[in-house]
Amino acid sequence: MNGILKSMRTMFRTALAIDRRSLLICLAYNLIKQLMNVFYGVYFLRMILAGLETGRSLGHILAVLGVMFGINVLYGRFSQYYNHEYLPVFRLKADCFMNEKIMEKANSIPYDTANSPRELDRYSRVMENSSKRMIQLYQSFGLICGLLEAFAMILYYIVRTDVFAVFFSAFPLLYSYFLGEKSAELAYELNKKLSSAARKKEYAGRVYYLQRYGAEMRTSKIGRIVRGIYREGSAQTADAYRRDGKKIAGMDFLELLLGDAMSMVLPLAYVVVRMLCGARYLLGDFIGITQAITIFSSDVEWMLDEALEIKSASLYINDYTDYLSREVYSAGASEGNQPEHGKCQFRNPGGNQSEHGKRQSGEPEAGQPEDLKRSLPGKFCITFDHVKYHYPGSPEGISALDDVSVDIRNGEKIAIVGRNGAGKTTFVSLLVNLISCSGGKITLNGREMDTYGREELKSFFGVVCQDYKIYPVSVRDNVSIGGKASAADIRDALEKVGLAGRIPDINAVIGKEIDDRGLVLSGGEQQRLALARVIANPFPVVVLDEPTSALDAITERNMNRLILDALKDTGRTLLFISHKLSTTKLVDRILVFEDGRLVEDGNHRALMEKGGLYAEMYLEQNSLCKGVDT
Amino acid sequence: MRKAEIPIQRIIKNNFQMAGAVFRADAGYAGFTLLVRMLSGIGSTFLYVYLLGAVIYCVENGKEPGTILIFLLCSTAFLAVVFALQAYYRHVFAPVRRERIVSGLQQELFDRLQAADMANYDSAMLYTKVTLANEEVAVRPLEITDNLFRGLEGLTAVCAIFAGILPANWFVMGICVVSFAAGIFLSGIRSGQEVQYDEQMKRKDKKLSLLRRLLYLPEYGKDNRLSHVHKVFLDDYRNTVMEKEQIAAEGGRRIGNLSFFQKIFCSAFCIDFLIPLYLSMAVLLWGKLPISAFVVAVNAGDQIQRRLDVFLEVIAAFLKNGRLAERIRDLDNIQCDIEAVGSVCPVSGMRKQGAECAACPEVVRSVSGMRKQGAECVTRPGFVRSVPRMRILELHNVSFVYPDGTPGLSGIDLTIRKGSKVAVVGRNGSGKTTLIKLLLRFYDADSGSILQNGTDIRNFAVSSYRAQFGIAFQDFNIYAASVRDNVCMGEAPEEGRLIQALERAGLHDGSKGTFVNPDAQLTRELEEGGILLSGGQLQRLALARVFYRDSDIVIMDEPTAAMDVFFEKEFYRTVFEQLKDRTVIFVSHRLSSVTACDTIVYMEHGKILEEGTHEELMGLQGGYYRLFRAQFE
Repeated sequence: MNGILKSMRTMFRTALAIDRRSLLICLAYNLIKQLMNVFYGVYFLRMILAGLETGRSLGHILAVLGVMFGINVLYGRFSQYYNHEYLPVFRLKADCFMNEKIMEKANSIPYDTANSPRELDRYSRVMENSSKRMIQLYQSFGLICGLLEAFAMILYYIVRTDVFAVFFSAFPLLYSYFLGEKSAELAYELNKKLSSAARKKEYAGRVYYLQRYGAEMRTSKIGRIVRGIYREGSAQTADAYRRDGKKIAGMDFLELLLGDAMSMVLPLAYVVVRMLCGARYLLGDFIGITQAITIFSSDVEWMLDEALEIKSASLYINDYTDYLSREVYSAGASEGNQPEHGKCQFRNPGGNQSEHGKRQSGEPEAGQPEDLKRSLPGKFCITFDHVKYHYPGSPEGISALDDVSVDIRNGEKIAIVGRNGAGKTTFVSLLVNLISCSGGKITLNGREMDTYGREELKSFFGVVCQDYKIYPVSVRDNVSIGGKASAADIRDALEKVGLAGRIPDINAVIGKEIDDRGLVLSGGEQQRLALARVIANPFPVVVLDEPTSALDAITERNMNRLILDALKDTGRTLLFISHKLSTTKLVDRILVFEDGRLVEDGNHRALMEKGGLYAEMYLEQNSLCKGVDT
Repeated sequence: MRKAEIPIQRIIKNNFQMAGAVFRADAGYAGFTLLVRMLSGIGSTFLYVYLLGAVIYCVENGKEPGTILIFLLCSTAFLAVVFALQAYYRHVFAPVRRERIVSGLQQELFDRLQAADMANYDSAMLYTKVTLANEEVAVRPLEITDNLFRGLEGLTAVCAIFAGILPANWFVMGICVVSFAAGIFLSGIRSGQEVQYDEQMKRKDKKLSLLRRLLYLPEYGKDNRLSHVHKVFLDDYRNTVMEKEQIAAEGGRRIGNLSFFQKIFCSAFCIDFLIPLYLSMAVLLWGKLPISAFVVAVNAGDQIQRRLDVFLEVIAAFLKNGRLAERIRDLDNIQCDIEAVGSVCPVSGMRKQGAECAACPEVVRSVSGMRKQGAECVTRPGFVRSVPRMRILELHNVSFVYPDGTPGLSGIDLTIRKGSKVAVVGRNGSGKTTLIKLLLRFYDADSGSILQNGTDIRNFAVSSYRAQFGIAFQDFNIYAASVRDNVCMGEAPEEGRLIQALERAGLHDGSKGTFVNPDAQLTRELEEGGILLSGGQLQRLALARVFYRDSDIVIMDEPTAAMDVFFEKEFYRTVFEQLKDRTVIFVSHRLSSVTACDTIVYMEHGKILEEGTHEELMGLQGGYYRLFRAQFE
């Protein structure tokens, strides 16, 4: 019961936030609708028949009909407005409003937690269901109010005509409640089985028609396996229906029999029995009473159905409320173990504390100490202090990053090298605050990175990853990525990466998803566009995580040179991860990782002299190069 | 987006053909559905139209209450039977049968997709057709059938009503007909508006769903957290929603007006005003109507009105279904010139005359139930049934341009001998991958020919030809199945061979203690407990596939792009060792690894510019030399 009240409160608040008049309109609609129903169902026919029986004039009948017609027109107009104009727009608004909140919340969850299957599941459940169920609750609320009004009107009539009929009308209360709940339970169970089977079928379908599987489907017999998966899903579905279907059918039969049939037959039987016992009825009242009981029964049934709907909808709405209000920690940080120095928690950016109010991304967050609002420092130092990171789900004792301590200052050009799995990407992810450490501290100018606002950090770090994405929006948006780069900055950046000729109009859209005339760029061109992002925007720190691995050696060399040149005199800091050691000679500093630890730190010459891991890798790479004078 | 309007004859044809397909798939389902629907129609008519009137009639004519009660009892029994049938049908019979029908239709579609040429994926338009057809096949045929049956149910009910009231009430019937006709007319106008409204909304929806994906898919999670691009998407999202709201408000108003007018005329005026008025006059002025008949007539009018509404929905759905079913039929014209040979008739090698790939008599049914008129099957001259083991592959003056105009290859001459290791190198866009695609016969060359042991590869059944190749591509896929399935790729698994392949690839190492359970499920797609392999392990899995397949020719396209130098070295060492006596073709731009090959082919702009050993090409100081040097600068 508490859950239902809580969800109703959420619904009221949300509906009012979307549109102040919403609840009023819903109420008005439902009250008028039920008024119409009762009048038409109970009184109308009865009045006409009474008039006919008692020999009233045609004029009297005409008057009744006329009034009915008038009410019809009025109600029709309002119904049209509500159903065709108001409700569709309200639905859209609700959808947008709620989805925005959910998405914003999702994006504030630390990256590593957000990608766990459970979190993804939860997220998609909330996205799929919240606004649907909110609208459902909204409508149910109105409906219940209307039905209560109908009850009042009908009861008034019945009590005036034949008091005993009231007890009769209570019959549906008995069966509907019990049957209804049981049905809902069964349906829920069936649904769970069906959705896991449906996922299999859907997966198989995807493999057959998505382009990425085309080559393998035609050069191997994997199609057989995929077909098998589909068949499994199909068999599971049929099985579930066969087994659960019978019970549900039984419930449905009872509901139909007791609901539809009985609610018509029993009142008739009742009245007949009463006549057997000597009661006298006007034909009009005969019909009136039977209709009244029928309508009352079906309204009660309806009411109980709605109550069940409200109950299930409120579960989803409460999911939504809970989702928005929880504190989420970085998965690497909290696993039931206390982080070593007890410091690392990802706090929600202040902006998510309030639920209502205007939402504009990019607005400074409320609730943070004022000194964070000033723009981030020109001269800075990022310090890793005994930092450790442990991926959730990986075995005990194996950390992706273990006891790393290093300082990074503004203006440095740093290369990060190491074998696959050495911890380079983890290091960089921690640096840009994508994830939070499991142990140790990461500070920017003495203050912990976690305490800076998300939006500020976005303007501080410019990142291009290996799995960078080109978005199906304009070239301008693709390069400025929401920052303040002007058109001139963008054109300049395109010039620098060699795309100016290829893209004459920066407002052109990339990709053919939205517009058939969209620009289609090759892989190499896309990579250059991604690099243009960090050139056009004045990020103090630029981080590149192997963005050029798909390029051929000449293009790659050119790209690397290009970036270094573009950033050379700007005083900006550059960090890049690379396997290729040819670029490392050009930088001030090389950080070498192995098995999660920072093992070497120095420039090329120093590390070669040291003769450690870096030197080994460098010589290895060079040994593969035959016949080239370096 | 369909620009052309589909003619009404086609819509009708689509509906009935789909229904026919369902009927052929499961006649029992169709028959039982018809029975249940008709009984329902009769049952509900009885319950809502005649029951009350019958009782009143009895009361009017002074029948014994006992008789009435017995009558009520029998009625209940009758209704109970109808409801039991309905419940059974709805929850047991229908879902199981429908699943079976859909499964059959979907799998036919799978056959069709498997038999489609790779070229279909290149064209965005064709690709959209495939996705749309895929959405429809699981849904449309059953919707069509259900809709038709719903119409029949309504018809039965209306007939039952008319049969009862007709003799006494010409006028009432007349009004019903007028109301019905007006309803259809107004509906027609309305549906035009609705289609337009729908399309506008759909366009916005398409954009919205794209934006939603950008805003929430985990693959964009990084981007959304690291840059302000989130704001760009959000602004766009909000604007699009506002545009959609506007359409909804305007379109809604227009449609609402029409709907209002229709309701007022058909329902409020005709059924709720005229009919009762006439009947009242019949009772009061002409004294010829008993009250029981009055009640029945009024209820009949009401029920007919409801049935009319349903009928209008059925017609609207009929039109919509007919339009959407066209998407499934679109697939009949999908290009399958290459795949059809070998997929459709692997034994006879038969091909459609005129290179069309609609229904071949050998294929049981296409999804839409179509058959080509006068389909002739001819054997392709020169067809060779079994593919001889490769001794030599030759490309003679091969040129190819992609269907969308992108240039691919130009005048390629190349010879590959059995057992040799060939590297194809060049910058991005030089044509390396296109060469491979042609070798694998994903496309046929526009001019020139590819010969194996002197025979043009077009004379082989394509599946037999491709069976000679083992593939390791950069963008290989891991399937939601066991490790075993992911390695054997659909061949009947042999455990010994499987373990050996895993060992050779370095996934299974007794001495190091690294084991992979062949039964383990990969990816978390379908199972929460599925395992996720690391990047390196996945690469080894791809290698294991090649080893298991044990084919004569192996093609590797950028297999080590994401690896560090140690791993890469070990990878190539393994490959050269384990595939010593096979023909291997490498495509790579990581040149340091392919220097040990017998032949290196350097390509630029679709042409082969240089060919020879590493030393020879370095000596030339040409394109290859420059590319190689660039790696170390």
